[in-house]
Amino acid sequence: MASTSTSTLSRKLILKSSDGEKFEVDENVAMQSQTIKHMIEDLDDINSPIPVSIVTGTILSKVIEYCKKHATEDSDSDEQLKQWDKEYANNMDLNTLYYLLLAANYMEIKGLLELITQCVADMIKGKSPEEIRAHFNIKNDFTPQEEANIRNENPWAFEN
Amino acid sequence: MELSQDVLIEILSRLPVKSLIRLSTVCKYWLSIIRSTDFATIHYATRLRLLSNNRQECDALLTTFFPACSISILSYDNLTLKTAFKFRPSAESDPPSFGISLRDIITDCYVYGPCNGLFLLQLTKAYENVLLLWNPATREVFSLPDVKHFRFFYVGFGYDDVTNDYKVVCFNRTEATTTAIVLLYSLAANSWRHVDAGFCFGPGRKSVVYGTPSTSNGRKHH
Repeated sequence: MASTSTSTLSRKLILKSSDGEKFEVDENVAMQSQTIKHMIEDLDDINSPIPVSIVTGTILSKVIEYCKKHATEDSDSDEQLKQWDKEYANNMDLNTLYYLLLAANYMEIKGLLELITQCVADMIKGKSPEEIRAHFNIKNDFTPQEEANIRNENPWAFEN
Repeated sequence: MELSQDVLIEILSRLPVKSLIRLSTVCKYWLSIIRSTDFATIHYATRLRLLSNNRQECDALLTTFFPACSISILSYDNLTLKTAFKFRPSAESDPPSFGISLRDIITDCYVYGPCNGLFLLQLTKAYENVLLLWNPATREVFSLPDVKHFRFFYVGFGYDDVTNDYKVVCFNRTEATTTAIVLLYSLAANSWRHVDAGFCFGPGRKSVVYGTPSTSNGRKHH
């Protein structure tokens, strides 16, 4: 059996973002994405760039940062990793979080998806419907009467 | 920014009920998601998973009886007691409370559950029974019909995931006979029906030892 690479651990993959930016990453980093894992299985030439078609370079670099942290089996304890996750997510604005969410969903990275959805949930938990509409650019399609009816069904939920 | 339905459900299912009710006024699409039964199932499972990872956020249910006639929830967050359910109005201006008035003397109260977040409350006032299904998260209370003159020996309830229905079972007996009368209530049909018991209670007044259903979704076979 002929072997071209010296070790499977050191295999590198090239990921290509939607805007053409290329990232060289260790295979075990990229494999945290189920989508990429499946793509590699179908790939003939491991050296050709793998397109991550809906993710821009800016977002992809953040995704890779997360995957690198979670791929290394170094001395980080669960507690340290949790702390890292927290700081990682806290440094994002809502816009970035949104695109990371789409990326994690598309690339099927379970841990990242979990982290970001919880972070967005925490952000919208205490917000008013008006603030949510502004954030997500949602049009209020209720008549004032319909909206009042929903409020009156559960007035306690609208108290502070 | 447009969130796909999957992602939106994933986010919303992490929020407490109070936030969800508030956010149901965002738009018709969010309202339809939040009110759907599928979402209720996902939300319950997600919250349960998250809360079990973070015990500090869990609340404990306490029952107090006299003189408050209420059930309270103790929040571990800040160790405060909140009245979660009042058996009867505290003032004439309070909304009517399931056929129980200020003048009623409540002699017994049992709490069963939870089952999918619901509790069954059994109250006795002046030899009459009241059975209430109670959702503490949404504060909804539903009074079961025709139970006034039941004499309970045993009550239990559970969720039937085949018919997507809540069932209450009640073992009953009359003064005259020792034959057990078994009644099964279906929330979907909102009615009771007789079930063949096939056994008798012994003579005299018996105390029955029973366990309350936890979060198990035990189906009631008969």
